[in-house]
Amino acid sequence: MDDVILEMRGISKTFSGVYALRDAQLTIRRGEVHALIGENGAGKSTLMKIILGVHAPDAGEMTFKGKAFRPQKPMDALQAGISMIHQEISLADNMTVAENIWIGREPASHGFVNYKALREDAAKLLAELRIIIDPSEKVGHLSVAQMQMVEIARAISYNADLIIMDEPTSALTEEEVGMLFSIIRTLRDKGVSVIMITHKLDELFEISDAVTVLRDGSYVSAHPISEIDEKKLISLMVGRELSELFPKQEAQIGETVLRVQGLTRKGLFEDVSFAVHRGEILGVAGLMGAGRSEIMTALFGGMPVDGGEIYIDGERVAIRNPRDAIRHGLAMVTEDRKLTGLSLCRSCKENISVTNLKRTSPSAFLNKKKEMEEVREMIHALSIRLADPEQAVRSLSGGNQQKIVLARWLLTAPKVLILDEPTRGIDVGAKSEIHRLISELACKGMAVIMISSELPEVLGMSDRIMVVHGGRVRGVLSRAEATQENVMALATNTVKEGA
Amino acid sequence: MEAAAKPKGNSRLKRFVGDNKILFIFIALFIVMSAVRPDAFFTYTNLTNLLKQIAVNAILAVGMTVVMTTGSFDLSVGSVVGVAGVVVALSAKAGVPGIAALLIGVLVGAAFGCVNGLAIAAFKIPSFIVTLAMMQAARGLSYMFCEGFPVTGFPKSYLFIGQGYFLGVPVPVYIMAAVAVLVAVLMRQTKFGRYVYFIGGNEEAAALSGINVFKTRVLSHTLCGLLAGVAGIVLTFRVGSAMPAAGEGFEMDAIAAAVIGGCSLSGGVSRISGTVLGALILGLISNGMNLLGVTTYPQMVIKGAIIFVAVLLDTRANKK
Repeated sequence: MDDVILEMRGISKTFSGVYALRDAQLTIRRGEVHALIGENGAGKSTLMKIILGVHAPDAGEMTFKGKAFRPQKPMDALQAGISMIHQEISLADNMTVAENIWIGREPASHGFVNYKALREDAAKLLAELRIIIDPSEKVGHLSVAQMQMVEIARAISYNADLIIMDEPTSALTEEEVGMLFSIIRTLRDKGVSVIMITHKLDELFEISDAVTVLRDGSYVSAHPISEIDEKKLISLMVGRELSELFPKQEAQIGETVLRVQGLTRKGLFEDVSFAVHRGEILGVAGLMGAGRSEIMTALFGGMPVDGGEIYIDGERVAIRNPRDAIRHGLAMVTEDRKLTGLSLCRSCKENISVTNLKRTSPSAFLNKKKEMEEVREMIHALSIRLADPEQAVRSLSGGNQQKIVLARWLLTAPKVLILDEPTRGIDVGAKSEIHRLISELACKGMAVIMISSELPEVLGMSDRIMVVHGGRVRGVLSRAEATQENVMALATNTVKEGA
Repeated sequence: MEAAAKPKGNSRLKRFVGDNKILFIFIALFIVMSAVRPDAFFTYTNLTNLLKQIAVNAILAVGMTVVMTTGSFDLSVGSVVGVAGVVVALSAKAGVPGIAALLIGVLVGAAFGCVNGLAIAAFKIPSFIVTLAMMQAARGLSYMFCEGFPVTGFPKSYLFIGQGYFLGVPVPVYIMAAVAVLVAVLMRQTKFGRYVYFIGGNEEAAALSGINVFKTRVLSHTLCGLLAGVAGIVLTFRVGSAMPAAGEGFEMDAIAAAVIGGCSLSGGVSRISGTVLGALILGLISNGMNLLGVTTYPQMVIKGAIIFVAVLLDTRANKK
């Protein structure tokens, strides 16, 4: 079983001038489970999208089953024998297992679906994979793990030789993971290859035969699983020098401003406790889906919680909605400015002033003069580059849009500023401007909470780093203790008790 | 920054024309009609009639614009016109003194809108569904209140509201103008208006920015219902009787006027002046076609085509 089924060499892809992949490579053998790992933004998804034909590479060679392979659309990949199982379940809840498996390809005569054949084919397929699910069951009645198995069965039903799974275990219990893995082993024994994107190193060592590491869009190395250990893998994933300079100035760290005690929302995060002080930047690290954004959104009143206490300046406060949070001096720059930050069709001015209208205009009528003064001040202070404050905010670049959101919150003069991925998707120049600004705010005594998936950013900017994994705080590292390896070990939960 | 900061004179003019497309279309249509039928179109009687006829639709369209700006719809306005008209006529007939009867009508409209808004905001049900249900319910109530018969026989003095003239201009036109100006001020000069636009652009961002989305939604629907009440009053006293079936299909004309006037179907973009122009254009087209001898049925086809084009332009503008 040593023959290569998929070979990618020298794959490069840029998005508006930024490299997502640079000279990446990947070699998958027939009948192997191949893990693909790397930090968020390492290029894993882009690489998979190239295999599926969602993106065309700018450069590079791809061969599948020994022939040059250039899929133009996902259908091409599917027909060639490549299926992908996405992180999100994409089944129709109201249809049966059998209908879902054969969707779009129902056995039919004269335009009428032959339901008997449909069921029997599905039953046969499920039996082959040793999946015990009734093909007549409605998908809506299945557990998440069972749904995932139906997805696998559907993928197989296309006669796939290569199945890509994007974090297939993220929603599964330990027992269900075991079931999934036994199905993956069945697949492997049938000669099907599996690419598994994962963040969970323990699972990786349990199931995979080989691993490829990507970092910053480039290929780092590939190893048979027997020749590598966790420690080595982590250092390969993060192994970069802190070359960028972060303009973090030492700020006077003062008394506690915000203290969170036992914040819990079932299924998302549990028993989260932490505190931030005046002048402090608290970095929040963790992998995607660890629950970082959910914790902060809940703290800000954007989502109800099942329990927990919030104290501001030592006093317990009730935060039921973002208005409460704002009144108590919190501000939050959300993760996705387009989705949850900006009203894109409205003007820059309106997007900056919206949260501050209550203050600038005590009566029902707008005090447009005062509003405009403040807006201009902020535009100047943050050097936001725009032609006219009245222009639609969607016409600005990512970095300037992010500054608009920041301007809005700085105008509220918050005690605690929560930043969720403050520099995602913006260019290097704007990035360092925003870093400098954050540092200045801390120096002026603001307490800053900064979620970031970029390790160098968290390490470079934070006074302390809180690491979240699986909805729980796994540890808080001081600036001195924090290294890429330490943070990554906590974030992947590979720190053994007592180690 | 400097380069982008100074739009050239040429592009400024372009922007002015682009921003006021609808006004130029209206002027063009007006000139064409005046040229084609100067005898029948450009006369005092015809023009005042035209304005009187569009008043009800314009009032409804202004209210519709407010909810559409938040990203909602109100399909029940036509039925609310009916029920508000019936209630006012019954009140007036029963001897409720002048202003009080009118106030009742306005409040009835506001109540329907408020219920719409509460249902949409509290249960997070699409406004389309909620107001479709209300459209049925309000129509049913309208028939129930008057037992299926038109209500007449109220004091003649009420007819001034629908049929009277002041300084040579029909009274409904004053009401329409007042509604348009007040709502335009509300939308442009108040915090409420800002919130309406912001929610329409991005509801989640609005909530996370500290806007009380629930309150704004309920208020905007209440306003839309209130204006449907006003429209119901104007219609009743223009016709001279309250018909339980009055206002059927008016919601579509209101949406059409708003969309022609540049109101985005997905919310966040609108202008009250545009909506009024939209109502004027719709009125001008039917008036024009009447004068040109186009019969009712082809008129409907042509109106349909115009609405389609307006929506198409809106969709294309959103894709950019």
